[in-house]
Order: sequence, then C-alpha cells, then structure tokens
Amino acid sequence: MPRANVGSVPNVDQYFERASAAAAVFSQFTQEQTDRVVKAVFEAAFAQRVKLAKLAQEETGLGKWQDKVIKNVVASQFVYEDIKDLKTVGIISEDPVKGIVEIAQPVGPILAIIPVTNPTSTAIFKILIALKTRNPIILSPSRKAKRCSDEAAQICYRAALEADAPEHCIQWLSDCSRELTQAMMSHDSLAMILATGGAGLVKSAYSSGTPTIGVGAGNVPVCIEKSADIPFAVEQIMISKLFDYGTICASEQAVVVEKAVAEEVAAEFRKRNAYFLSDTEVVQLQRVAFDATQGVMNPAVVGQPAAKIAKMAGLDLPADVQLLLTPQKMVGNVWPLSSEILAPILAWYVVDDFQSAVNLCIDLNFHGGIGHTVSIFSNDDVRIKTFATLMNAGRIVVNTPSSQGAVGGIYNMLHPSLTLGCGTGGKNITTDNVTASHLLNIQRIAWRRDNQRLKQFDINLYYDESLDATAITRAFNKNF
Amino acid sequence: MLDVCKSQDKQVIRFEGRMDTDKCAKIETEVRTAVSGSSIPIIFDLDGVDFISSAFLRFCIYGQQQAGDHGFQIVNVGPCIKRVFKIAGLDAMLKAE
Repeated sequence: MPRANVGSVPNVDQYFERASAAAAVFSQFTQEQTDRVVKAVFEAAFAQRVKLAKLAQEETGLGKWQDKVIKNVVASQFVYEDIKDLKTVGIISEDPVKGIVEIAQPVGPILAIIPVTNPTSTAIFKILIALKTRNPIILSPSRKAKRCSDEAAQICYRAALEADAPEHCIQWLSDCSRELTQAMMSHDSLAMILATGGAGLVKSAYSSGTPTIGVGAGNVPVCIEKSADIPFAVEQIMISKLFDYGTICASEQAVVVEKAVAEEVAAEFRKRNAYFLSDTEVVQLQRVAFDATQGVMNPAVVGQPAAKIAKMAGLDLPADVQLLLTPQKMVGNVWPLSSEILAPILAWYVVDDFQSAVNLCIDLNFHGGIGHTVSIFSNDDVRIKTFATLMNAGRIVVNTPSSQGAVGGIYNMLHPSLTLGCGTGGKNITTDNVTASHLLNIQRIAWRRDNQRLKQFDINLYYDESLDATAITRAFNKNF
Repeated sequence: MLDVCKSQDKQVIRFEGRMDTDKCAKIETEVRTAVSGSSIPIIFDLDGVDFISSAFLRFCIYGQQQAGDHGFQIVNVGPCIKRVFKIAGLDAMLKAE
C-alpha cells in the first residue's frame, strides 16, 4: 500500500475519488491543524516566488518576470496575511441575543481554472484559500502555462503533505483538453468551480450546473478629474499600466481627462516616454492589437512591451517608448481601441467637463467591462462619490494604480485576490474580491427566540379582509 | 502493536486512537499481513478511533479487497468517523456502521 503516486494519471472519476477522500480526512481537521498547513504552503510558495515567476514568463512569453514575482508575493504573503486569522473551522460566531450560532463547513472539492496571464500566482492564491477552508482543490491550468502552474501546485502540495495535510488535497489535471475540463466541471462530486479565465470558459463553467464563482472581463476607464494631482496621477497610471506589460484585467484601458487639464496630463505622459499616436498610426496599431473578426484583443500583443507592439504595427517609434496612447473620439465596436487590450496601450479621451467625463466613463464601463473596476484621480470627495455611484463596478479605486489597487492589500484594504468578482453585470454572483470566506458553507443554529410582537398580536386579525397593511402593522406593533 | 483477534469464522482487527499518517505507516506491515489473502470475514473495529487519515482509508479499501466475497465490515464507528466515510463516498462499500 504505497502512498499514492502523485505523478500517475488518473481518470475523471479517480480525480474525484481522491478529492473526496481528501475532503473526508480534511473534515476532521481542527483550526490549528488547518492553519499549520496553510502556513507551510504559504512559506513554500513564497520561497519559490522568483523561480515560479521566471518559469511563468519563460513558458508564456507574457509580461515581466519581476512583476510576476510581485504577483506571487500578493498571492502568497498578502493573501496569507489576510486570511491567517480568519475562523474557518467549526463555530465561527455566536450571538446569544439573536440566538444564532454560525458553523463553518467546507464546500467540498473545488475545480480551479488557472489563466495564462497569472498562471503561478492564481494557482498559489486558490490553493491557499482552498486549504484554509479545508477544501481539496484540483487545478486546471491553461495549456499555454501548464508547466509553471503544475510546478506551483507541486511546491504547494509537497509543503502541505509535510504539514500533515490529507493526501490529494491538491491535484492538477494531467492534460488541458477542453473535453477533460468539461467532464470535470460537470462531475457530480465537484462542489464548486473557481473560474478565472476568458468569457467562454467562465460561461462553460456556469453551464455545467456546478456552483461557480466566476469573473468578468474588464474595460477599466480612469478619470483624471481637474482637482487631481496631475504628475502623481500620470505616474500612478504608468506604474499600473506597465505592470507585467498590462496583463492584469484591472489595468486601465482608457484615460478620460477634462479639457482644462488635458495638456498638462499629456505633457506628463510624454515626460515618461509615452507616445501619442496620430490618427494614421492608430489605424496601423489597431490592425495588430485588435482581432476584428473575433471582436476581441489580439492575443499576440497581450503582455508585450510597447516597443515590440509598435514594431509589429510597422510604427517607427523611439526604442525607449513605454506606452502607446491612442486618441479616440467615441466608444464602441467601430472604435476597436476603446475595448480591453491587455498591453501597454491606452485609449485617450479629452472631454469638456466632469459631467462629460463621467458620461464617457459610463460608456467605457458598459463597453465590455461591466462590474469590474473603474478608477478616478481626484481630490474632490463629492465628485469621487458621484463618479462611484454612477459606475457599475465592483471596485472603484481612488488615486491608485488600478492594476495593483484592484487586487487589494497593497494600496487599500480590499481583500488581496487574484479572482475579482464582477457582480451580476459581469454575470457573477459577487462583486467581492474572492477569498477564503467564499469557500465555506455557513450553517446556522437558530435557538428559539419568540417574536414577542406576534405573541401579543391577535392572529385572527389576519383573516379579516377589511384590515389593510397599515391597520395590521399598527396592531402588530402595539406597545412595542 | 495491532490487536488482531482471529477465530475460525472471522478476524477482528481493533484500532485505537488517532489513525494519522505516521501511525498508519507504523502498523502498515502488520495490517497488510493480517488481512492478506483472508479466507474468512474481516472486521475492523474502530471503537475509540477519533481520527482517520488517507492512509487508514486505504487500509479499509485494502481490507475490503482482500476479504472479497468472505465479507468485510467496519464496526463501532462513531459519528465523526462515520461522517468521514460518508464524505469520502465509501460508507456503503465498506459497510461502515
């Protein structure tokens, strides 16, 4: 009876037999035992943050390894800090007045879809939140990033076993075929899908009939309101948009500025090696940056440096160009660069005033990015709140680089997460930054607490059709 | 040491305490020897067992395979352990009661 060989290739049922056994053993773990496993996995993943980042960059050809290190840090250190003290086992709250006691239970085996853009960080993040909630997890990596995602999973699994976690608490699919993923998604023993990926894959997860926490696409507008600190705003946007060459779905996609400050904003961008394209150059760029047939960004430009993209478009730009700014007049399908492009390309809009800026941001927000993230630079609290109220976004980040701001933990107190809910607008069940608390079933013990108003109320009044809601409510609340 | 009680018509193996990975590794050879090629029913008595690991689940599956048509049963299963067999989907196959 040797310990199961983690390298063997199971079939669909075997993945779930193993996962169910792991869930069963995990169900006996105390909070202390669980936390010991999570800490061990965090430390192991953190120790390999650079190796995994380099592996991810080499395998995918996307982004910068240095920024992928930071993503791995967020996924390990920041996520761990955020969840380490969370109660996830047994009784997690007691309210003697209301007579409600809450008990946390694991949801069961989780299938985690891992995207090519964040292949190691998302793997680490999902493993940590799954283990913290005593759920076994099966990773389904992108076929373009399988080696590095598998490596991340193996590092975490070895550390988990060392800390006495159940065997097979972490598994990863042997191949990335659509057929295998589909079969996994609709398996009866699967409890939940954590679907971080493209729209097709997320929809497919929802269609499987298994409860799914999905994500939506982004198309993040950043409004630079005239009270903003302009040099600071531009610096922050550059930090965000150049991070991992724009692969984060919360990165800014369009800058919207008021006319009064447009020249100053443009000058600040130019100072930082951003280049404003002419109308002709915009047409050249959109041919390579946007796949008009599919109506989406061209994968060939995703996570690539600006100079390389410019060369692909046949543009003769300075070698040190960092960011491509594309002046646009309107938003929509006939303006391809008003859509999400996960690369150092930003649409540029100049508008008359704040009202026009908000209107344009609404258009951008609703053009493929409903529910995701929007950004504003301003020092006017009233305008910030006005802007936030009118957007449909799970996250409205203020005076913050949106790539790093939306994932939480660095520039704000949002939960650090590599899975950003986009609400019903993005066809998701939550607008939250998804974290461990989303992976629990909460059972509630409800002790008897009689409704005292009902006790003193003459229940026969309900049968008297002549009494309306006002009369009944008055009688119901009498003496209370 | 493992408590094995073998009679003409059945073999009862009693486990006690925490059947974690380390403990299972220590008794693995004994369990294997006790149940291999059995020609009589095998009974695992879990009275007093308060934790079972993946390794112990494998003992159970192995025991069931070895007993074959002669019969395999797990008795004196407390609620916490019963729930483990239930979640693992093994309660019916292993006749855990």
